[in-house]
Amino acid sequence: MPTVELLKLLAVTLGLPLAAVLMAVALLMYPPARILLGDILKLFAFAGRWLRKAAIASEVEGSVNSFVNRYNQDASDLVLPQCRVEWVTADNYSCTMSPGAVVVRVSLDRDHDRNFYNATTTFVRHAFLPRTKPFLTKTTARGIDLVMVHGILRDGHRPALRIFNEQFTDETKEVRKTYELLEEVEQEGLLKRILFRELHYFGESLGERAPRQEHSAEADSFLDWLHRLALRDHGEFTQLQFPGTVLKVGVILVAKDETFLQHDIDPYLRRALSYATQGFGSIYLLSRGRKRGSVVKRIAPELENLGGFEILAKRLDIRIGDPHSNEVITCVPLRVDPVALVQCAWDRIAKAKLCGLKVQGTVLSVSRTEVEIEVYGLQSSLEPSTMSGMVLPDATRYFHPGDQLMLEVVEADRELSHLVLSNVGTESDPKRVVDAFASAADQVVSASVVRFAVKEGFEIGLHVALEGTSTPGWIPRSKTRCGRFVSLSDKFPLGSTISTKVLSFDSKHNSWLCEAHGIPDPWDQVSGYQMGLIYTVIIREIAERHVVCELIDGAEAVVTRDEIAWGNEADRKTAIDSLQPSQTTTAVLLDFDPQKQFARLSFKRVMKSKAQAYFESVRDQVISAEVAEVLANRAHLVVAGLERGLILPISEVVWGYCGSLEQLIQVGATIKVVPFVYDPNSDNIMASAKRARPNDFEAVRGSLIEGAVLEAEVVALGQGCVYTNSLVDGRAVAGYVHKSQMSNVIYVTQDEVIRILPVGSSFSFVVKRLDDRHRVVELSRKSWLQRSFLSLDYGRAYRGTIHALPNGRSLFCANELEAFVGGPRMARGGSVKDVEVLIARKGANPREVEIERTGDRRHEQSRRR
Amino acid sequence: METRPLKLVLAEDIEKLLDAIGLLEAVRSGEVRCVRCGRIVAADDVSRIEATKSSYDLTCGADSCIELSRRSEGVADANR
Repeated sequence: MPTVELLKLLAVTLGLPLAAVLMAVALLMYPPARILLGDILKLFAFAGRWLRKAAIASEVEGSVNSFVNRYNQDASDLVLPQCRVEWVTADNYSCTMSPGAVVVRVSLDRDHDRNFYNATTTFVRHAFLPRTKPFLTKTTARGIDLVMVHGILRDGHRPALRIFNEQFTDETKEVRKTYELLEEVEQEGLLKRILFRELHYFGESLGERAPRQEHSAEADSFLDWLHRLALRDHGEFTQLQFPGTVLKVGVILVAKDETFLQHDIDPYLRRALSYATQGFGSIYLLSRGRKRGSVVKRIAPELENLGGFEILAKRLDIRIGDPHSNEVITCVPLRVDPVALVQCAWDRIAKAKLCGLKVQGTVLSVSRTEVEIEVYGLQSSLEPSTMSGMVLPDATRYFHPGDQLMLEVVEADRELSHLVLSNVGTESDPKRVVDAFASAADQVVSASVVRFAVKEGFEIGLHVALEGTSTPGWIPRSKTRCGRFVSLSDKFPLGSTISTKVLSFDSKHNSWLCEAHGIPDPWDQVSGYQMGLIYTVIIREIAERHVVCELIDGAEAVVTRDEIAWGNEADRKTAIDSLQPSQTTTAVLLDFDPQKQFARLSFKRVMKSKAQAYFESVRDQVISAEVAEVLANRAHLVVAGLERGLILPISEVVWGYCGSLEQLIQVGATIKVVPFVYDPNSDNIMASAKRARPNDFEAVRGSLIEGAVLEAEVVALGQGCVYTNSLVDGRAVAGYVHKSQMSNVIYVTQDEVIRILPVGSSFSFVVKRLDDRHRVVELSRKSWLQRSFLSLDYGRAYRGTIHALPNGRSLFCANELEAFVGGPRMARGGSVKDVEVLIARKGANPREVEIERTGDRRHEQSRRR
Repeated sequence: METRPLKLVLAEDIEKLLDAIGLLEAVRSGEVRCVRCGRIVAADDVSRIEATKSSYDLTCGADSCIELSRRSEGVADANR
């Protein structure tokens, strides 16, 4: 396809008339040319309305359709529709403005970028994945729209990205998070290839059903799974399948060269058939790099030839990273047609039965009396009578999941779905091995190394001569109990004798499949290793994102990029550059699972980071820190001499529940905190403000009872509550008062909380509840005022504060009572302190207390006189 | 290949369109308000017209209203 630059070059070199013809052709066929036409027409826009419309339509259609075409070129199942500008006028409004239609005003002269952004956003919202969006959360749908709009603007009209960025900051935090997640998936090349396609089918599958919460939850889970898959590190265990209710997606990674070298593409074909058997509708073959990509390109047509698999992409390689990067991933989407798959399988089985040929089956699972197998995507099972020519007391000793069996078709009825297969007398019948090596206990025989099998410079196994038979033996590398970095020719020199166990007969190669016997499993030798300790390891492979080491020969461990060195990306790059294969170094064992043959190491944790060293010097001590940033769930603090600062999580701000961090701490304030934990994964120190305030809740728990009266000082104001500190038996106890427990006479709002119980004041409270989980006492001022009401005296003067409430009334608050009071006139929100009042009337409950100011009474008495 | 319409109106045609849908007089006399912010909307300040079952909703040209219109369009409306 000619680019805009190419068309401009043609116009310059060939002259305008010929270039005009070429452009007219290109205009009809290629969206990028329409962008160019839009630019040209804009120059003549003054000439008339038609030109202005044509300029806008060309630019919008060109930009959107460039994006759409790029996507659709890759896919054989078209998903994204093209854009067609429809002008709404006074003449055609009745047929164009149907209910629900949105008409966007555009112009060339008034902020064209903003118009372009508006038009694109409206189109994306209405036209892309329209049947899917009702089944997504608004956040996910919005995130997908944004990532598409960004793609269109980036490729078609970059100036409008300014508007995009301006509007993006106003998006909710959840939408921005979803967008970031989608952007990361896109950077790995999987957004258009997997996510858009699967969401399209998701919408199509759900069709006219009413959207339910589980639909949006499934789509969100799928997005999370895909994100984890896209960002997985080498050796990391990631689920390669998403077994949802509607979205059933399986991924086949072609990642290990050894698998392909040793077994060719068979394991991948078996995996695809296994997915198909389990009802997965979509299968994706994925690899990184051109070499592995060529393997993927062999697997895909092979599966298509099997029948029941359809390749949905035209272009299989995707370039990722920056524009100059040569990094390529290969992604082949395959759609499974279960009906065609079953049809083809029965055809093959019927043909094999007719010709007396055997079929190859893969063992799926084994129990003592039954072997589940899969043949061409159909499932069947072997019973004791069809497993072997001899009686097998326990089938698990002879068959293992993944084993390949050559089976004879005994009965096959497509109509009744009845299939009987037999392993009796075939090459994979265990009886054959037992008969051939009857003299050897447990089929363990002596073998001498004849030659090495080498593929692409890699030793993939040993050809051996077995004692007592002229049929050769074969030990693949995976059965030698050596790691992939060990040289087989060094470990098993030519002519050397090895003790081997014969496993089965391989009819394809006419050889006995064996495994090395008596050599200890390297993972057994490191089973005593402990996480957190430092071990000496050998560096074997240095890749872009990870380093592979060996704990001992054959026991591999991975060091992910972020565990190579402390500091930033430049520090890590320097550290990686200094590493050499075969270098011996030390590393901390982070994760270890010998059963799964998995170990993860860290080079950087051998040495302490600056943050870790600082943490150990101030651990559990009270220090001062300045608040640098307050976020929804944490605050960032800075201290002198530490570059990274501290993190104050919301749960560590106050004793008790904290609803809003902004209510309690402000940027720029200096607060007392205790660094209490160091997180080596993120190299962050976590600090606690509440631990800087003593709380002996457990110590005084026994002497506190609900209903007891407690004096407490208000120490902080929270969201709808105040936090308190009390002394019980000389020990400090933290507590809180919820706004519902503050007054008997008014409904307390956040504004009134500050006035009724100001920070620094002390009042009496009743213990309402002991909260053992949060180690705090819930107090009630309301209960205390009800109790205090009973002992209010008529002649006694009570001193307190009058608050002007928003409704215009004034409320008197003292430690013993609260009541409405008349005058003096105050501005709303104002307060008058140190006011003395007397009880004028005391009714049946705390709400019926009337008071008068002592000054008013004196004034009344003097007036009477 | 499937195509979807994107409905646009040229700024200079907006008055004629408003007249055709019977809103021009109401807009000129200040009787029509922005469906988002409630401000009286002038003819040259209309940024979007959304057809409903019985009438037409106008959105003014304020950035916040345009953005709000886009966000508050129900997701379920997307397949109209």
